[in-house]
Amino acid sequence: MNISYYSGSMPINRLKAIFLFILLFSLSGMAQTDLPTVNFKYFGHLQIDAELVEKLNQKGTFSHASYAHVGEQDLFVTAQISKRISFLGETVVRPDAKSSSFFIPSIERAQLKFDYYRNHSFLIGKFHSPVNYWNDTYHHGRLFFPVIDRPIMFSYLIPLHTLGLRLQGQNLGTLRFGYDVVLGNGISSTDSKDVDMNKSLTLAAHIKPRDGLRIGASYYHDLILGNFSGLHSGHVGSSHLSSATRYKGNIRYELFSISTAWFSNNLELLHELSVNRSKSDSLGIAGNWSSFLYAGYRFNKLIPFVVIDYLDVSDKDLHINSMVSARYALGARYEFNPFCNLKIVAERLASEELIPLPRHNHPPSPSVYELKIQFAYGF
Amino acid sequence: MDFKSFVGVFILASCFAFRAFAQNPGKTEITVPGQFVLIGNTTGVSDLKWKQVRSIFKGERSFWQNGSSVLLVLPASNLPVAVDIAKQVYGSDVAGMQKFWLALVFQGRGKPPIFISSEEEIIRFVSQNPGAVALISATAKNRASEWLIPIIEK
Repeated sequence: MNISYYSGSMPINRLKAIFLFILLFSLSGMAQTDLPTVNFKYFGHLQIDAELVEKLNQKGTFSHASYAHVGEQDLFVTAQISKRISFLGETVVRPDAKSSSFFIPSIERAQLKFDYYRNHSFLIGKFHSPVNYWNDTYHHGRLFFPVIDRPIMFSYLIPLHTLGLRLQGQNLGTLRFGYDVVLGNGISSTDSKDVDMNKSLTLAAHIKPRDGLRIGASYYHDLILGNFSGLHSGHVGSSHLSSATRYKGNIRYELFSISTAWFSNNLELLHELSVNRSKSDSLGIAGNWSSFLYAGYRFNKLIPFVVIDYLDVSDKDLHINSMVSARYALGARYEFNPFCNLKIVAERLASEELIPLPRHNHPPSPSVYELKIQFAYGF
Repeated sequence: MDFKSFVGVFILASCFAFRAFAQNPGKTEITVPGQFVLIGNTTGVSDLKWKQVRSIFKGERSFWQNGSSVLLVLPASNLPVAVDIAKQVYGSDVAGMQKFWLALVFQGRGKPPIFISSEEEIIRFVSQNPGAVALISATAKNRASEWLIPIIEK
C-alpha cells in the first residue's frame, strides 16, 4: 500500500502533535494488509407522481397534476482506516424548492467507528438517530425502502439526525441483542453549532431472536431551548410552527418508540409505534403518537403490500402543528435484482387539519389521492 | 381511529410476528452442506460449529478470539458454489446474498466482504491475509488443505 506523507513548514503545536500521534497510531494497523479498504456506492431514485387534490372549502372538487422528478442521489463511502477504526460517510444531493437549482447537497452521515472490544464499538460523528427500525436501517436508501415514502412520523416526531457520541453493541448472545447509547447535540443544534449545554440522550435496544425478525425499543430525551429546531433535526418545515408564531419557551421533548420488523422469505411485516410527550411551561404536557404498519407478501420478485399510517398531534403541542393525519396505501414492489427495483403505490392522504404534509408538493387539502411510480437503484 | 385501536393493531402485529416465529422454529435451520468447505488463515480456531460458521458469514462477528479481524471472502455470482453458499448460509439465492450485504454495509453495521470470481484467487487471498475466511467448493479442498478448518457438530 502506498502511503504518501505531507511535509510542509506548518508549525505544529502540542495538541496537533498529539492528534498526529493518535492518527499515525491508528493508521499503523493498515500495515497488516495491502487490501483496498475504501468502498464507494451510489444510491438514488427517480419518480413519477400523479395526484388529485381536493380544494379547500370545495368538497368534491379536485385540482390535478402529474410530473416526473429526480429524487435523492446518494454517494456512500466506507473505509477501513485501521484494524479497529472505520469510517462511513453519506452525502446526498436532494430536491429543495428554496435552492436556485432546486437541489442542495447535504451531509447525512459522517461517522468514525472504533471497535474497542469484540462487537462493542464507540462512534463519533453524525448519525441517523437509532430511535426506530426505519431510521436505523433504511437511511436514505430508497432501494431498501419496502414502500415509496417514509412513515408520516418522520416529518413530525422523529429526531432524524444526531451529531455526537455513540456506544454501540450488536449480535450479543443467542438473542443477538444490540444496544445504542447516544449523547448528541440535540434538536436545537445545527451541524456546525449547538446553542446550549443541554444534550440529547438516546437509549435503544433490540433483539434478533431469529433470522429476519428484529424487535426494538427506544427512549429519546432532549430539552429544546427556546423551542428552536436546527436545520437537520427533522423538526423544521411546514410540519412545525414557524419562527414568527412559535412558542419561545423551552420544550422538554421525550419520545418512546417500539419497532417490530419481520422480513422472512415470503412475509414482510413492519410496525413502528412512537409516543411523544412535549412539556412546556405554558400548556403543560402534550401527548402525541404515530403508528405505521406495513405488510407485504413476496411472490418471487413481486411483493404486493398495504400501508396504514397514522399521526395524532395534540392541540396542546407548542412544538409541532397540531393535526390528525392518515395515509392508506396499496402497492407493489418488483425487484429486478438486488440493485434495482420498481414500486407502484396508490394512496389516499386525509387530514383533519389543513396542514400540508412535508415532502409533498400539494397545497393544504383535506384529502389527496396519489399514484406514484418509483425506480430505486444502488450499486 | 383512536389511540387504543392502534395499540391494539400493534399488539396484534407483534403477536403475528411471534406466532410466525413460534410456528416455524426450524424453517431456516439447515443441515451442513457437503458441497463446500471452510478455509481460514490465522483465525486461532481449530474447528467451528456450523451455527458459528453461519453467524460469521452473516457479519455477526468482528474479531477472532486471537484478536485478528474477521475478513470475509465470498464467491462472486459467476462461481457455481455461490448458489450453494447463498442457499445454506443466507437462506436465499445469490441475489439475496448480495442484497443482504448491500443493506448491512449501508446500515453501518457490517464490514463489507470481498467478492472474488475465482476459487484459485479466493485460496490465494486467504493464504495471504491473516483473519481471512472463505467457503470454497469441496472439489477445491485438496488445493487448500493447509487452510482447512473442520466444521463440527453437523
